[in-house]
Amino acid sequence: MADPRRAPLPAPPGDGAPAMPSEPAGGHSASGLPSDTGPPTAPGTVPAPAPAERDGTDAPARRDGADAPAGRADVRALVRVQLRIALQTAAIVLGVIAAVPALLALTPGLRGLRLLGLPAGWLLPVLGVQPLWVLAALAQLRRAERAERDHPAPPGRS
Amino acid sequence: MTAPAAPAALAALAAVLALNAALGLHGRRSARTTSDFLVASRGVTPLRNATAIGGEYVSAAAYLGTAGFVLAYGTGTLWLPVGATAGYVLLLAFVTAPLRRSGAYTVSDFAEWRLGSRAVRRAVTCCVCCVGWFYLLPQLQGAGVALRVLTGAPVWTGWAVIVVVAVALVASGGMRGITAVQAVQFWIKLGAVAVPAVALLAIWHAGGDGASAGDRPARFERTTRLHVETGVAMTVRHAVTVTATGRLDGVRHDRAAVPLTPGRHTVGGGAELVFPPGADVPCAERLPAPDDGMWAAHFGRPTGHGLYTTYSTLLGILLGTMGLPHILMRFYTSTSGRSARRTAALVPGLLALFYVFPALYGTLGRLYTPELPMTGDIDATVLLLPLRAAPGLPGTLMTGVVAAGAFAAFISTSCGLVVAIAGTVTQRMRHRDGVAAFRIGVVLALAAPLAVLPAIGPRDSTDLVVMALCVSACSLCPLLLLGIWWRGLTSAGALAGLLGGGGLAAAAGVARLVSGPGTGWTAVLLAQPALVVAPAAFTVMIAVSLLTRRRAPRRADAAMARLHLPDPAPVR
Repeated sequence: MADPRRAPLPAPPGDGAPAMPSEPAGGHSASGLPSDTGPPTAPGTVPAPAPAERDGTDAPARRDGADAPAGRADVRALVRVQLRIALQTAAIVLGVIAAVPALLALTPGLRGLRLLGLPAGWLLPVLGVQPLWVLAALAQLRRAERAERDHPAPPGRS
Repeated sequence: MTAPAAPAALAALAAVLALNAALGLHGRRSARTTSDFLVASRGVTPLRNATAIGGEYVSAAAYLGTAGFVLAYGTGTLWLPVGATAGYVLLLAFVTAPLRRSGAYTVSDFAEWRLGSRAVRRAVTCCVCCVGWFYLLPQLQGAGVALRVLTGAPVWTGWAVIVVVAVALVASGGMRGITAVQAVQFWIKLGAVAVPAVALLAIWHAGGDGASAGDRPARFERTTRLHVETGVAMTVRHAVTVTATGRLDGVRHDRAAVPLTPGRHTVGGGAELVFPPGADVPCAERLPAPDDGMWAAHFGRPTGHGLYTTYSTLLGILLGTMGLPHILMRFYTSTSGRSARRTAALVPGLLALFYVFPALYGTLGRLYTPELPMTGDIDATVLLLPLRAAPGLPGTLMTGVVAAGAFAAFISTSCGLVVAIAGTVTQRMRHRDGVAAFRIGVVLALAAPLAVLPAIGPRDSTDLVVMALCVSACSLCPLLLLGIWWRGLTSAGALAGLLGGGGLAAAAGVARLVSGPGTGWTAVLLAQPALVVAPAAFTVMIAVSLLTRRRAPRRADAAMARLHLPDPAPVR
């Protein structure tokens, strides 16, 4: 049952991943095959969807259709949740970036602030905002992973 | 003048080359068997892969360009690396996990898989090439400047070194692709820039020279005697009286006090100028004018141009980071979408740590190498600073260390880009046999930037990298975002957006390369088109997709499921 479903999609990560990552350059001459041994397998699988769909248009389509009421709504809900999380992170990022000219205008006013002899104009971006991105990244990671954990596993995928 | 640095620089170059060769050989030997491939790739932890991404990302612009920009234009330019790090946060939020789950190796693979269209694949390949070529320019340029200021060799020696090393490493299969090697490169670069930086900071404090480190464009902190090696055209912003020996504005002087009015002046080769303390450092004509960019916000009210440039540059960097082909390829090494996401979450931390140090060099450069904006070699700040601050053996040793990091930066990024371009192009030539096609790809990847380099003259690396990021922001970024998050994207929509956005951004980049910095809105738009073109590319993609709604790929729903459903439970 998994096979016809998988057919239109590229090789699952598990199959292709192990051999390819090291090959892009790792194996040009070492294995006699250049880096494109990786990619061609991908295109090899990419065109697959077309024939697979054409041959058995009905089989995979109907199967998807059969799962649809539960499966699609399920996926849509997850995509919505993940998109909301990602957009919130993006809003934080864009908000800070939008404030950059204001921050730039602000720094000359903070002339008194110095650390190790370094001025506010140096401290604010390097030690003030960059750590913010580190935190934003970790928060995004945690929220995205939690969304996936909370997502009920669909029947066909486990 | 730079003689003491030459042996150190050459030793550093030799050491980096030897290290790369050794790691490459080691990699080849250990990659002999397929089972080694399996073990290696399964064993790549998020931290290790994140370090490898850092290693690949830290390029000439990050290593040399950041410091140069701070030196020339003040600390306002430190917001550019802030934008780059933020780009990785967006990459994490929107792209990494789904892209990894799609199983695509390159962006072209992703596009063809998602939209089932060969035409889109070709358009993506063109965009990848454009981004890669624009991104290779600063690497070659940086290598040329580094070798020239350190050893006095002509700039093309630097280009030649990079080309030869990249071809040798990529073609012999060493180095690239083996995650451990890229990870080691990151730590080399971090150490090479950090250790001397800390030492220099200590020297600066011990010297008691307090107030340098300004927010404004560079000025001379003390009476400064400048020896101009090769003739230069420069722009003086505020009237200043200098003591000149040699040719100035076509007139020969001998220790005469010469008032310089604001405007353009030429200095002949071999001339010597003495500037009083507090004078603004004149700016080489080929550099962007200091009061025309985001840095201008420091001077009272921000102008319309300055505000536009600030936002446009930052948006280009922010979105462009999402579409860098050599970085996206790296995530393929992660074993699952989840692991790719964890990898991406660590990258901002590594970059935030790294960027502290180039920023430090730029600030210290104000004191020790204030003349670089005048000669135009702002990329050389990091390389020249150690010997100026600590003449003698300590300075020479530090120069060697810093130079080694710089060479590692050029080499690893160049190799990553060459592999990314060649790998993407090669897939289009499937009728040829693999090895030959890949070699053609490598030649193609390097030939284009090499053909352009002599024509464009010296440029600073940050400027060039921003161009590359802008092309990526206007083409690959919309494709990835919409392809991953919107099931309604059609191949016609993607094609229209890619050709329109990517085409315009690349055309603006080429126009900029040909024309050089200018003034007025046309020049501003050409220099930083991202704020206009990127939203336009998104709009075109969405609009055309809506118009061709009927032709939306039928498996869009299956694709969305594959992109977003959690990875299957790992097999243990």
